[in-house]
Order: sequence, then structure tokens, then C-alpha cells
Amino acid sequence: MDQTLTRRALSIFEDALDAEDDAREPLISAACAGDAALEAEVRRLLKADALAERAMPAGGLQPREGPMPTRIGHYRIVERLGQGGMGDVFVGARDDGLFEHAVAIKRVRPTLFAETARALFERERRALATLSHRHIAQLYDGGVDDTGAPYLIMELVRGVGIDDYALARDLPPSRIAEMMIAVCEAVQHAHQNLIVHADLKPANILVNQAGDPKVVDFGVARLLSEANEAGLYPQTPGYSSPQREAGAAPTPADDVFALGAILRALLTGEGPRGTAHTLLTSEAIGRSMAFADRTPEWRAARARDVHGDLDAIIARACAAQAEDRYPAAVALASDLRAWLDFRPISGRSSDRLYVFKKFVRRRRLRVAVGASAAAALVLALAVTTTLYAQTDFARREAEARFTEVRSLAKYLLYDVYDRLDRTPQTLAMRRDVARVAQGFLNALSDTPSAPPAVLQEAAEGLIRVADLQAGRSRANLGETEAALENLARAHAISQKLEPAATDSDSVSALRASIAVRQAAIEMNSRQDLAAAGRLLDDAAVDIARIDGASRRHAMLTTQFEVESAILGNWKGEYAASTVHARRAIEIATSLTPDPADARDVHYLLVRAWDALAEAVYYGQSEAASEAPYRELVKLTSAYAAGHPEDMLGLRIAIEARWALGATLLGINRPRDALAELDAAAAMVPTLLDFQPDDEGARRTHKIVLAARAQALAMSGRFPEGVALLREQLKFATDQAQRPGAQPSDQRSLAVTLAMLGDLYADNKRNKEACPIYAQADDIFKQLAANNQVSQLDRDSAIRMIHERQATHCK
Amino acid sequence: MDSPDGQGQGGGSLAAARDALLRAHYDEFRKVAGRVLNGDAAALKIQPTDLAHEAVIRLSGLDRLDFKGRTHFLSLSARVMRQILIDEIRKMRAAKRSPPPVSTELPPELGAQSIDLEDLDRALQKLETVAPEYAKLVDQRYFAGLTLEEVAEIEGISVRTVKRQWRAARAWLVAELGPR
Repeated sequence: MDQTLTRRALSIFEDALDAEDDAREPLISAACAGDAALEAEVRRLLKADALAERAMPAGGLQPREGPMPTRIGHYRIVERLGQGGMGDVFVGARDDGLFEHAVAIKRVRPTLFAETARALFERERRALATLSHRHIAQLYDGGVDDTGAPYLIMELVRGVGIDDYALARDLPPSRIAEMMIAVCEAVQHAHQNLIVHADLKPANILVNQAGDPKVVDFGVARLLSEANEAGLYPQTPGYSSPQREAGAAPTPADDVFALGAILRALLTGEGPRGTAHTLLTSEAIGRSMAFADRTPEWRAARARDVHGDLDAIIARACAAQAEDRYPAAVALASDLRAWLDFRPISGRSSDRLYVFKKFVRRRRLRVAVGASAAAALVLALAVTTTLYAQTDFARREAEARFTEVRSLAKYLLYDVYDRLDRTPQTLAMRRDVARVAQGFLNALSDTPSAPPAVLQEAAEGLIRVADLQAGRSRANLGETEAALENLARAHAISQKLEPAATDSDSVSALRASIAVRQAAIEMNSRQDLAAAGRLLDDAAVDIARIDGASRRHAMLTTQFEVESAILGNWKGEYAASTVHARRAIEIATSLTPDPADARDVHYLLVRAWDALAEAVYYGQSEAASEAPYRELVKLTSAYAAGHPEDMLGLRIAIEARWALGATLLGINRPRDALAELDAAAAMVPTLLDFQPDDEGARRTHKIVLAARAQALAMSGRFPEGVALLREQLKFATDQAQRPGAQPSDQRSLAVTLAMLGDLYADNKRNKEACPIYAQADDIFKQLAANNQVSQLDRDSAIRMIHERQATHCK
Repeated sequence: MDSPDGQGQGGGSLAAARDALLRAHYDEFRKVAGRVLNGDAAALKIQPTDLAHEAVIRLSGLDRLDFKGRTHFLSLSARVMRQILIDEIRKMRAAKRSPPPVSTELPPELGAQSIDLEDLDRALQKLETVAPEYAKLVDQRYFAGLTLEEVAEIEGISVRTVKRQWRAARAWLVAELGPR
């Protein structure tokens, strides 16, 4: 055959494919220009093409000829459904009952299956069988057939891939979103059962005749990875995350990525490789080959639908960094639902004001929806922990899922928690997340044969939980006792770790970080200064073992100096405290900035300046402390302005202004003080709106109120001041009387009483002042009886009450 | 076959890397091919992609190739894999007194029919001489098991173009192999 003839025929054939039906004939005639041999060749190709097209109708797999087993397990084989990379899929029928129950039977090709992997396969199969969800093809059973090939018995889904379904039915974006919500929920269900799909793609989401999507092949990716010696997980380009492509083991965040990629594929009509990743989904629609035959108007309308919110949703789901993605499949679902519920009415979309208002409303609602999605997540996770508490964790340790439990605990403690931390009104949820993560960590640390690296990680996780519960560098949960328990647990683990066996520096660092945190809680919440001192001594010993040139050493030393300075203040050793605080400031400011720990360094620096100012205030003079307090205000205000999402930053900026204001009050500059306190009070509502039940926020609210009341009274606005303080007193009383109140609540009530007494006494209202002082004194006496009064209080608060009583109450 | 790898063009460094890999694993491929063909059945029916899959599973364990690397490698060695497979088939046929026919089920889009692998090889050799890029596409698709999207990515051409070429190559093969 003439070579160029074939070439030319292939080329004309391709052009003919692109042409509309009625344009095809003229095109072929023109291209062949009377060359009969060429035209015959083109027609031969067209005929063969039609044959091939008929052989494969869109989406369906044809039953094949070839040997078919008659039975597998208890099932009679009815037909062959398809043939995939991992083996055959048959339709089986159970014929021992009154009616026939059809199932899908997936038989793994024996050549792909190593003998050693069989036990793993068996165990995994049982885990998968626990998944039960309307949108997941149920796994019923499994086993090994006569030829030694393992098989799975699954719910039979007669349907097509979700991409073919969406294209064939011409689904609008709203229907696509609805289907993807169902898929997200199915994936979420699996995640809660600690099963990651690991190979989500349109072909693994079948849509049945009823239009219900069903996710198939859950966990099959893992089965396959166990079936080959290299432990290689299959993955599908475009649907697997950058982390997976780099070879990382699958995590829930990878499934979220795949869900985003699938959503994009459905909206654009073609797979992820069809368009450049840099294009927004709405932009890709215009270039999609799948929509090439649509009118420009149709394409523009679809792009408009997708532009904005859906673009943003997909971008977030497919973020390159796992931590930038939705924290869970259910969060992606909730954003999709928000999009479905609050789309602007198209008839008015040209009205800019309307669009703007709609936008604001949608954003606001979305925050609320986001929070409720997180609530669902937490609730579901709670169920998961219960399940885990019931199962024998040690038995599972050898399984690969062990890694997933670790990654889940990490994911909860860092990704989910941090996200919730930035979401308003999520305190209860954050508490739950911490509790759930704790369940995982306990399970990990209780595993008898857990390797040192896992124990170390569990201890670090427990420290993190303790920080969430009572740490100073974040909005904590106010659970000091629970935090102490966790630190004790972490301490016990750290004692088990042989410094020689692992990286000795990190064991020492682990022990030091536990000790400084325990010291902080002992002095600040339990007021046990002796215990705090002992713990800091322990920490110093461990810090000395760490490589002095490392950043870890510098950070821990700063932490140690800060806590020592604060302890010095509690004990009334102000000169020593000043030295500690200055050393902390020196180290923290000399560190090279690193985004990884910038936040930690900032908060250490803030606490160091605060401790220094306090030491100067009590140790030298109120007037002398104005300078360090102004420094603190400068530092914290700048940070709060630069990090509006960081509520702790805001709170600390408020507290700095409060401290400066209180100092100015003390040196009789009430008007200057009022300016600072007004500025502080103006920031308080933002803080309380964000989290009304946060202990730290409430405390901040309290002290600003009290100081403003004094400043008002001293500026000649006495009644306003009394009203403010009375309000505060009511609050402090409620706090001190609630169940689970801490000694610090009692102390805070006593201090509030003393302040109200001062306000009255300073304004010559002894009759009101004296009973209030007596009340405050009683509370301090009670605390003293339990050895819960600090030297600081003895030196200032109590002494002042006694002096006042001596002067005003005879 | 004028060009030993059937690739025609190909960047220098990539080709060098491929050559090194192939040299290192040629024997491995042969063993895999032998194993795929090592059945006592009267007639062997095999999927050429089995070879590619097995090879990749082995290679990825040996070389820690990342995913992109694997796809590229597969694409580059698709032609060699076909050659190895055919060689092994010939060797096996020569060794056996009554050689079994070695057929393969063409993918459904090629008409879902059983054809002799050597016939397929002959057809592809013919296509190579007239339109090598189409033959290469069939190799990548059928012997290396790559998707059209993967081929598009590797070749740096649009999926649309690959789809058209695939349809053309498919039509040509069906016409060539089908009943006349």
C-alpha cells in the first residue's frame, strides 16, 4: 500500500471526525479531489470506526467471551460485568433462598496477589465490611476461591461512572453539586471509620438508574498496595494529591483533594488532564472539548454559574498544601450546600447593591454553616473514639491503619483545631476535638509495643492537648486539671523513653517542655509556687542536656526564663524576676525570624515584657513601669492589627492597654488611663462575640470593666463607675459559685470586691465600702487556710484591704 | 524496525535515562514476560498490559520512581515491551511441540475480539512504517497501559488531538485486522 496514501487517509479521517454530519461528505470529497483510492481508504477507516464505536456504547462495558467460573463461594456466576486492572467483576446470584439476590463479585487476579498478602487482605476485608452507607457500595463478604484467587462480594450497582452520567444527562451545576454532597457524605462516613478511599475518581463513583451515586472500591487501593511487595498504592493522575504523587501514604486530606478534582471534572465535562491546572474551573469550561458542540451562550452561562463560589470551593478542596484544604469531606459538602441554598436570583444579579448584599448575607450564613458542619464532624468523630475504645487497639497495631490513626490524631489536633480556632463560637467543638484526639493518643500510648518514635509523638500530642486545654499562647479551654493530667501522662511516657535509645536531645526537650508547662499551671492556676519552682529546676536540668546551639534550646530557654520571671513575680522576688525577663527578651529578639514558630516567639516575647513590667511595677515603682507597659502595648497592638484572625492576639493587646491604663490610674493620671481603657473596652466586644464562653476572654472583659470603672470614678464620673463594677461583681460571683470553680475564681471575686470597696472608700462612702472589704478579706482567709494564697496577694491585695480597713472601717 | 526503540525522536537526557533503566531491567522484563506466558493451557489468553503492570510494580520497588517517572518510563519502553513479549512468544512456540496460540482480547474499543498477538505485532509494524506516531500511540495505550490523558501529557499535545489520533489508529487497526 502506498505509504503516503495511508497517511493522507488518516489525516482526512481525523478532519472528518471534527466536521458536523452534513459537512462531512463535502469535506471528504474536497479533500480526496477525485483520488478514488484515497477516498476508498478513508471510507474503509470510517466504516471500521463505526464498527468500533458500536462495539463500545458510551460508558458501558460489554460482557466478554472467555472462560467464566460457574461458581464463586456461595454464588452462581450469572454474567461477566467487566474486567479491570485488578481482575474480573462478575454478577453473582445466591440461589439457596426463595428469591435470587444479585451481587457483584470482584475476583482479584492471582498473579497480582502475593501469598503473604492474603492475611492482610482478609483483615482489611472485615474492616471494609463495617462501612454501611447509602452512597457506598456495600461490601458483604469475601474469601478465596478454588484457584486461590481472593474475591470480594459487593453490592451490585448497575450504573455508569458519574462523569458519563453527568455528561449524558447534561446535568446542571446544581445537580452536580447535589450529587457531590452525597459523595462527600459517603467519604466522610468512611473517614470516620478510619478508612481512606485513596483512589477516588469518576470511574469509582457509579450512578444507578435511580440517579443515586454509589462510591465503589473503598479501600481497594489499600488491598492492591498490600498485594504487591513494593506496597505501591495505585493512583490516578489528576485525582491524586501532590502528597500522594510524591509517594506519601494516603490520608483523608488526599480524598478531599480527589473530591475537588472530581467536582471540577464534572463541571468542565473532562478529566483533570484536559485543561491546565492553572485555569479556574469557570475558565476551563470555555475551553472544554466536551462542550465544544455547545453554543457560546450555553458555555458562558455555565461558566457564570461556576464562577466565584464554585471556583473558590474547588480551589480550596484542591489546594496544594493539605492544611489549606477543607478539613473534612463534610466541610466541602457544607460549602456546596451553602452555594446551593443562597445563590443570588439571576434576574437581579446585575443590580450591584443587591449582589453585594447577597454576598454579605451568603458569607455570614456560610460562617454559620461552616460551624455546623464542623459540629457534625466532631459528633461523628466522638462516635469513632467510642468505637476505638471498645476495640482492642493492641491487636490492630500491626496494621497499616496504625499510621492512619496517628495521622488522624495529628490532623485533628493541628489542622482541624487550628481551623476551628479561627471560626467563631466553636469553643465546645474545640473541646470535643481535643477530647477525641486525646482518645486516639491514649490508645497510641497504651499500645504495649509502640515504637519509641510513636511514643514520642503521642507525648507531643498530649502536650498539644494540654496547651489547648490550659496553654498561655492560645485561647485555651480553661481545663487546667485535665491539662495537668495530660502533662502527667506525657511525663510518664517520657520516662519510658530511653534517652540512649532514641534521639537524646528530643527526649530531653520533651521532658523540659512538659516541666515548664506543668510549672506554669502550678503557679498560675493552683498557686502552688513550691511545686512550680521544683518543676522549673527539673526543666533546667533537661535543657542543659540539649545542644546549646540549636533553636530548640533557645526556645526552651526562653520559655524557662519567662516562667521563672513569672514565678519570681508571684513570690515577690522582683529583682530576680527582672533578670529572668530581660534574658528571655534578649534571646527571643535575637532569634532569626522563622514563620514556623513566629507565633510562639511572639507570645513568649509578650509574656516576657509583661513579666518585666509587672516586676518593675511591684519591685520599683508604678511610674517606672509605664515604659515597659508602653513597649508591651506597642508590640501587641502591632501584632493584633497584622493578625485580625488571631483572637488571642486581640485579647493580649486589650490586656496590655488595660495594664498600662491601670498603671496610669495608680499614678493618678485618670484621664490618660481612661484613654487606654476606652481603647481596650472598644476591642472587647469583638473578642466576646467571637467566643462568649472562653475563660480567657471573660477574664479580659472583667479586668477591663473594673479598671474603667475606677478610671471613670477618678475622672469625676462616679455613678457610671459604680454601675460598671456592680455588673462585674455579679459576674465574678456567678463564676466563683459555679460548679468546678477554681481557686483563681475565688481570688478574682475577692479582688473584684476589693476594687468595689476601693471605689466607694475613695469617694468617701465608707458605709458601703467596709462590708465589701470584710467580704473580700473572708475569701482571702479561706484561700489562705487552704494554702492557696500567693506572696503577691499577701504583699498587695490582702495588705491593701487591711490598710484600707484600718483607715476607713473603725 | 529502523529505530531500536521505535520512538523516533526523544530528548537526549530522557533517552539516556530510559536506556539505562531499560538495560538494567531488560532481563527483569523478560522474566516477567516469561511468567505471563508460563501457562499450561491449550490456548493462552493474555493482556499485554499485565506485562507493563508487573514491570512497574517491580520497578517501583527497585527504583523508587515517582508517579510521573513511572508514566514516562512506561511510555518510553512501550515498544520494547511489545518486542520482548513477541520474542518470548516466539521462543515459547519454538520450544513446544504443539505450541498454543497466544491470543489477546483487544480492548472493547478495538472491537472486543480475540486476535493472535503476532498478528497484532505484524499490523503494528506495518503501521509503524506508514504512520509511526499512530503506532506509538497504540503501543503506549495497549502495551504500556497508559490513558489517553497520560499520553497527551507526556507528548505535550492536547487530549483532543490524542483522542482523534487514537480513533484514527483504532479505525486503521480494526480495518487491518478485521474480516475483509
